[in-house]
Amino acid sequence: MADTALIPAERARPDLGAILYWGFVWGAGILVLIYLIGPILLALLMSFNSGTTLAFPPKGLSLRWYAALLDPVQSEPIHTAAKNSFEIALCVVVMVTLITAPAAWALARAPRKMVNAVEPILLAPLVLPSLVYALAALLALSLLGLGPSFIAVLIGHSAVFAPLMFRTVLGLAQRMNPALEEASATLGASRARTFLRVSLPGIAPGILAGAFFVFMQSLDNVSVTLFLGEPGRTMLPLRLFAMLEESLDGRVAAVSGLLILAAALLMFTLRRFTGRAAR
Amino acid sequence: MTETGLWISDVNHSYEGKQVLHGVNFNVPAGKVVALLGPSGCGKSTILRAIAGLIVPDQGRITLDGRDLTRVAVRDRKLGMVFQNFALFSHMTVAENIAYGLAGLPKAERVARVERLLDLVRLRPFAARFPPRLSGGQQQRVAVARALATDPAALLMDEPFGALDRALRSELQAELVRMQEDVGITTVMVTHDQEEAQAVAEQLVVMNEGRVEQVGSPEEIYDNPASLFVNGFIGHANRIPATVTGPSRLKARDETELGFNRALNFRPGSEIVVTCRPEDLALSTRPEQGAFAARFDRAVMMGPLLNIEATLPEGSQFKAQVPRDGTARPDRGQTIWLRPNPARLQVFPAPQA
Ligand SMILES: Nc1ncnc2c1ncn2[C@@H]1O[C@H](COP(=O)(O)OP(=O)(O)O)[C@@H](O)[C@H]1O
Ligand SMILES: [Mg+2]
Repeated sequence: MADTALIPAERARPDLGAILYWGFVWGAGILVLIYLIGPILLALLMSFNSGTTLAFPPKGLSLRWYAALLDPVQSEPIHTAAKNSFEIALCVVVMVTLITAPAAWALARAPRKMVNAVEPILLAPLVLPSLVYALAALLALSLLGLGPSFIAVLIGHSAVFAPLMFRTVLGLAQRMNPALEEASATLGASRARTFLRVSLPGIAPGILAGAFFVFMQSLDNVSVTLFLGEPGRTMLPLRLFAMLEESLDGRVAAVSGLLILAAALLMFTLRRFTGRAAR
Repeated sequence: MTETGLWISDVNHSYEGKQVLHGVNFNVPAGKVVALLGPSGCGKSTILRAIAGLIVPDQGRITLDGRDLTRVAVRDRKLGMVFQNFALFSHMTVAENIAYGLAGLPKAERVARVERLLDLVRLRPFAARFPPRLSGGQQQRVAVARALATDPAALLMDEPFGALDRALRSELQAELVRMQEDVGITTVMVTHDQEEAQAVAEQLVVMNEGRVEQVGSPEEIYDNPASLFVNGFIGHANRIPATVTGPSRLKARDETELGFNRALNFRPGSEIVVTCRPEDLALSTRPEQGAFAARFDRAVMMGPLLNIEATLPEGSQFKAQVPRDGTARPDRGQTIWLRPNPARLQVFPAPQA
């Protein structure tokens, strides 16, 4: 019996089917990766261009576009637009968190039937084009006799992006062991204390991940902002678009560079944080 | 009249229209350990949750040391509970877990209390660890310490050894008994493992399908089971369908006649089931009066004893446990005779088909 182990197994001869299969898997995989990452790398490279316009390949490497972007006089409109966008995005994240986290937590405790009935409605904004929602909201606003405003944008963004956080929190809340909250109660904790000390830490990774998605989507959004925002108040995406229309301004690439950096940093810290929470 | 200890009186409960507790009654004397024992799904956890206040039973009363708990909110009951998978807070250290219920105390007192409990469960070196980085046994001790920290009036434990491997259990059971004696707290432990129940508790409450079948000490329950279910659930019981033929006589299906030294509470002609423990059977290789002929299947030695498996002609399995006295073992397939000790036989009405 032991002897058979000493006879070398015959090498499996690679057949044509396997070659085609793996060739396709690897080929398609690499193509998709290039498709996903390529443009981002391209934008990054162009942001370091030393030439006078957006161009590829870059003539030489320099930080001139970043310097120009940070210049308070020359880039004042961009700064204002960025400030407006960040302001909205932050407010949206706060509002979405305050509404969505408790809602998802409560729904995780509701009867299964109710969840099945309510969930599609709450997730509808995810599948509905935000353009449709923005138009509807604008019509509703004018029906109420209200005009475009900061508050309208805030509410609009919150409604459209809340499902992003709702999903991440609901997933965690549903998987949370109900005995944890029961244990807290048997130890004499009030409902509020149980929520703050036990439930909230349990769903915190979901809130953080959701906040990241909501922030990025709000920052990026054009249609809702365009329909519901005051015309005088420019937002970052609108400003960048306008700049590209005027000239091939290299500062646009520099903005993307900074955004890519910020997103990467945020994602990195988020992963570390949620990784630790899930320990 | 105030009665000490924990009293469960006539508790009924239904989940979604399905009744899972039927008039449950038992009591736990102050300072004693009672084990709730029964097969999975028989309602043990439900009773424990009713005592803890996590559910409000449809009917019935629960009192502790004279205090009616039935309408008291969970957090005001002041009971310690150890959950089935411990339900430790994984984002808090061991010490923080134990201190969780002590929020109302001044800091110095809280710290002193946590240290005392860490000593009690021998976990002081692990105070700063997070629960996921502890072994199963250590997690269980954290759960016990956390439950005891608030100085509860009673301790409730739902399968506290269920998540641990066998080898660890007996050690931790002994530890729990020691700790319980130190603290002297009224304790209800839920388990589906009869050995565990016997190792930890002075009183057993045997449950089946939402009903209490018998309450008593492990000896009482083993020697005088109240029902066929209890008889088979606590220890092994060989079952022999039979018919009563006289005031203290009966005849088994295979025509073997058995005489009793006591009167049977059954009318002649009644269909009954006689049960017999493996250790109450004597083995013989020759026909004997009052012995069942059976086919010898196999024998496994266990220390000084021999565990024998045999099959009766009508097909039912018999287990016998006899001393290993050096006589030759029967061969496989050979006919043997197993003679029950009439004084130790139990008689029950035949289950309704
Ligand atoms: N939350 C619940 N909803 C519906 N049925 C339940 C619920 N909890 C338990 N049951 C049912 O009640 C019965 C008793 O359950 P349980 O008390 O957990 O049994 P045990 O702890 O003895 O295994 C089982 O049939 C179980 O399916
Ligand atoms: Mg249970």
